[in-house]
Amino acid sequence: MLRIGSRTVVHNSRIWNARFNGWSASKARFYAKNAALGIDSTVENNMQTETNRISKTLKKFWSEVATEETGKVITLTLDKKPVRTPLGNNLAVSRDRRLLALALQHEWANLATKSIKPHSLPITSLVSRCIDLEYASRPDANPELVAKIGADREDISHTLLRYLDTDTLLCLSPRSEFEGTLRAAQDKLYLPLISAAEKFLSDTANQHVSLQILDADLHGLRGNAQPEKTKAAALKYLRSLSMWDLAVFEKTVLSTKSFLCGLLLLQNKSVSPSSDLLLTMEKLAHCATLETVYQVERWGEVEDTHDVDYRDIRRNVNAAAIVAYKE
Amino acid sequence: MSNKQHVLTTYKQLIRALVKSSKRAKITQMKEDHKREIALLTYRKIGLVRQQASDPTSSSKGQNVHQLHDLTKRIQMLKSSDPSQRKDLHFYDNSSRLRQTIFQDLPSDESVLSKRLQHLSDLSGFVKNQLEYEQLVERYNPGLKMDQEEKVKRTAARVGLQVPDL
Repeated sequence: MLRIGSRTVVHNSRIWNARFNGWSASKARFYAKNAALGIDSTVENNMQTETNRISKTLKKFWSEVATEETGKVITLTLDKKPVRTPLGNNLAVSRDRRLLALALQHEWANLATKSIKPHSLPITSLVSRCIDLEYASRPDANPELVAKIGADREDISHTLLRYLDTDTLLCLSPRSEFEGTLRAAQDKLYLPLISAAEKFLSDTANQHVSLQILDADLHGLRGNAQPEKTKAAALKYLRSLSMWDLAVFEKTVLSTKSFLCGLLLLQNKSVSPSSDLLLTMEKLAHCATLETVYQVERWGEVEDTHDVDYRDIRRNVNAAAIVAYKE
Repeated sequence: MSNKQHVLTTYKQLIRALVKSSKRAKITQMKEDHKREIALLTYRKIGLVRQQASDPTSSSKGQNVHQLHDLTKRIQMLKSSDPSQRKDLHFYDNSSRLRQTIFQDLPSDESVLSKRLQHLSDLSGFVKNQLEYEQLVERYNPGLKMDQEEKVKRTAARVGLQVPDL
């Protein structure tokens, strides 16, 4: 599906490869083609996988979607057989993510169409990514596999770090635009978050770091770059994350185009969120799309673009939040 | 007490979102099931009619007529039934499990509770936005939902041809 201006994250096409025990056991394993940052460029393929099978034959081949609790994990099953991720792991979540298991089940039980599109199972695709990243980060992992799904931790971190330079929350509009209303809103929403993030990164790095803001009034049109100290602190933060959280972080940053949004989301879902970083996911999505709000207000809503994007970013941010949460 | 009420409202919101999103999928699934079953019954009916025509003196004639009547009735029933009127569409299948997950050991700690409430509203936010997103994509890309037959028909119509009825 090609649509101009819409943010159809190709990442989700990993789901094409979610496979299913039994049917595929006797066949050779197929792996998704690699691309950096969880973006899978395989839009359509002929892999003999079960999601592919349903989307090509348009036949639902299971009658019952259930979850099964064994030991510490809850596994999603179709007719008692576990669903598999692209690397062949069971699609399973730990017991402290019960509602996530429920969300997965809901997603599979309510496929609106039998032609599975890359966008139709966002939670499954994100959880698959989390599980596969964890699997590929084990010390005994096959390096070929790591390269294939783009699971190298340092690679991911460094690519994500580039989003901090031109972070949505760090680019402020000129006061002349929209009679200054946009800038006023940005000052009100962004500045407290920026200083809270600065404080958080300073605590992480044990030294004071500052975030370089791109102010259109002062700097005009140019790129933005963070000081080395800030980058080091951000990298240190990324290294402290679990693989699971890193996948969630990646998803958030890719949807919001903002490193800080990723940080905010994970901090809100962490065990003890610090009070100055607290915000709801709706607010987070609003911050990430603030400029669009003002553009739509002035120029009107473009069909098939603004309305779709509005829903898209919210479903992605909420999906990331659900996957990140832990009891 | 107000905490409990808060949980309850959030829970209700979540249920509402879940029901709304599964309703659409269930209706589509049921419609497809009906279509398949009608095709199957029609096939069996045709078989019976043929059998009767080729062997009119068969001893089991009365039984065949009875069966034929039965099949016709079932096809009629399927054709006239409307899946979107069904009452079970207004309920969420897994509600007991969901309730158990949410209300069991409700944390007394204020911050933990508010985190869980946030989680619940994230979930309903996701379900709601995912549904809206899918509906929008479908509306702007009508070809996505079309089956192969329909696509061929429309492609032929573009160049002024008609697909023959078989």
